[in-house]
Order: sequence, then C-alpha cells, then structure tokens
Amino acid sequence: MAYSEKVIDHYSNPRNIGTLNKDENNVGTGLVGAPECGDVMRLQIQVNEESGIIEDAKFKTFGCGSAIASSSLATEWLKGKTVQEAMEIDNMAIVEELALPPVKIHCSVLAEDAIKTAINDYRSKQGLEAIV
Amino acid sequence: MDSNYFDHFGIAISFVVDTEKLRKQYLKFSKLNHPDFAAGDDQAYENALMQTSINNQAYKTLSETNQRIPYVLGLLGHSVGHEDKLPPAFLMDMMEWNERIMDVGMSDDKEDLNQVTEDFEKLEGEYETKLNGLLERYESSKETSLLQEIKESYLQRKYLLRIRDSINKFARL
Repeated sequence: MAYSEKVIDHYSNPRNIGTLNKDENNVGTGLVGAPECGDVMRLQIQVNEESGIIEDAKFKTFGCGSAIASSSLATEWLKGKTVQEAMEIDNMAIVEELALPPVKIHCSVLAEDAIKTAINDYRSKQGLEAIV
Repeated sequence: MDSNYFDHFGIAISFVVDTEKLRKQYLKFSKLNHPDFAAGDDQAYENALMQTSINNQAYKTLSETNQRIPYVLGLLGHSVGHEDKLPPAFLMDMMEWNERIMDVGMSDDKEDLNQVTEDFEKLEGEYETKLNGLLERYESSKETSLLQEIKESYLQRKYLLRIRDSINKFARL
C-alpha cells in the first residue's frame, strides 16, 4: 500500500510535535490508543480562556505513518479554532484531506477521539460538562 | 460443515491448546484431504482444495496465541472491536515506555538500550504471567466474569508487542 503525498509530507515533516504543560488550567490533554495496532496518541490544546480560541496544539504519536499524519494535521486544523468549532472536526475530513485508504480510516478516528478527549479534559478543568 | 475451528479438530473450545496434538491432527487432515489424491475427479478435487484451505486457516488460528485468544473471545460472545478502550493510566504508561525507548534508540547508547530492554522484559514477563493466569483460571472455572479481564489483558499485550517491535528495530541498528 502506498501512502499519499500528504501523508508522507506530514510524516517526514510533522507539525507541532511536543508537549504542553498538562497541569495548566487552560490546557486540555487527550490520550488515546488503538489496541489493534498498539498505537498511542497524545494530543494537547492550549485555549485562550477569554476568547475560547485554541492558541496552540501539540501532539506526540507512536504509530504508523497515517496515525502520525492524522494527528499532525489535526493540530494544524485546531489552531485558531474555537473549542466549539474544534468539536466539529470529523474524522472523514481527515480521511479526505490525507487520502487515507479504508484500512487506515481507524487512524483518523483515533485523531478525532484525541481531539474530543482533549477538549473534554479542558472543559472539565473549567468546570464544564463533557460534550459528546 | 464444522461450526468452528475447534469442531474442525474435534476438540473443545479452549484458550489453552495442546499445540503438539493440534499439529498432529492438522497434518493428518492435510494428508487425508490432499488435492493430489483427488486428481481427475473435478468435484472431489474442488472439495479437497476447500478442505485444505479450511484446515490451514483453522490451524493458523488455533496455534497462534495472538489469533486464538480473540477467536475464542468471539466464540464466547466477547468479540474484540475498535470500541474497546483501555484505562488512561495504562495508555500513559505505554506512552512513557515508547518515549523512553525512542530516546534511547536515537541516542545510540548500546548500554542504555540494554537497560531499557531488560526493564521491558520484566514488564513483558509480568503481563504474560497475568494473562496466562487468567486463561488457566477461566479454563478451570469457566467463570464468565473473567472474560472481560482476559480481553483487557489481551489488548494490553498488543501494546507491549508494538513496543517490543520498536526495541527490536533499534537493536538491529
């Protein structure tokens, strides 16, 4: 199976690799895993508490090229969005953007899970209810 | 037509399999249904091909622990799927192992790599013992409440196998 050019681009030149301080009140952390392949993905957002806009996003993923590309792309998309807008990022948009083949769709699902988990972690720190 | 691969070999559904016995049975069936013996008779030949293919698949599934466990879980109504999630503390642990191995692997320090490998082997041993213990407990008690734990333990093993792969990759460099 050949990776698309966009996957290779994100894989060889990943955006926003790194860590944010998970103890900060305005940082949300999403840690998710895919048991079928043993991939683990950590995605973090830093939110401006006044505007609700995501100012920074970082990730670290141990997984295949598609999992790395999916999370790298996700951090790019997250920056500048409001938390509300970020909640609407759909895994199929990632699939389309990266031209992921059917066997790699679960990598995009993992990225979407990571986004939602990070947002809900942030919301719970702010004393807000989780959104599904 | 057998309803499952255990039926195929005439043994009871079980997480624990006598692989030596299984292999003998597999070879016996392979011989019995060898397509060469059916040459000339199209119907019999087709049938022999099909039997051989089922026999191969059945043997592969039951002889490999990694395939047998999810297969038995499925038969017992506890299929493994995408929606199965492990607790965050475990994932955190796996993240840290991955990071540690990546750091050591990149640093080119053989001694550090040996140390991590040694530590990781200890962890692998612990998880292996835990899983085997659960499987034996289930087989002697048939306590269905153990199945969820077996599934979790099997899934954890998948993460460890992946980390093992990256250790092996670095060891070869």
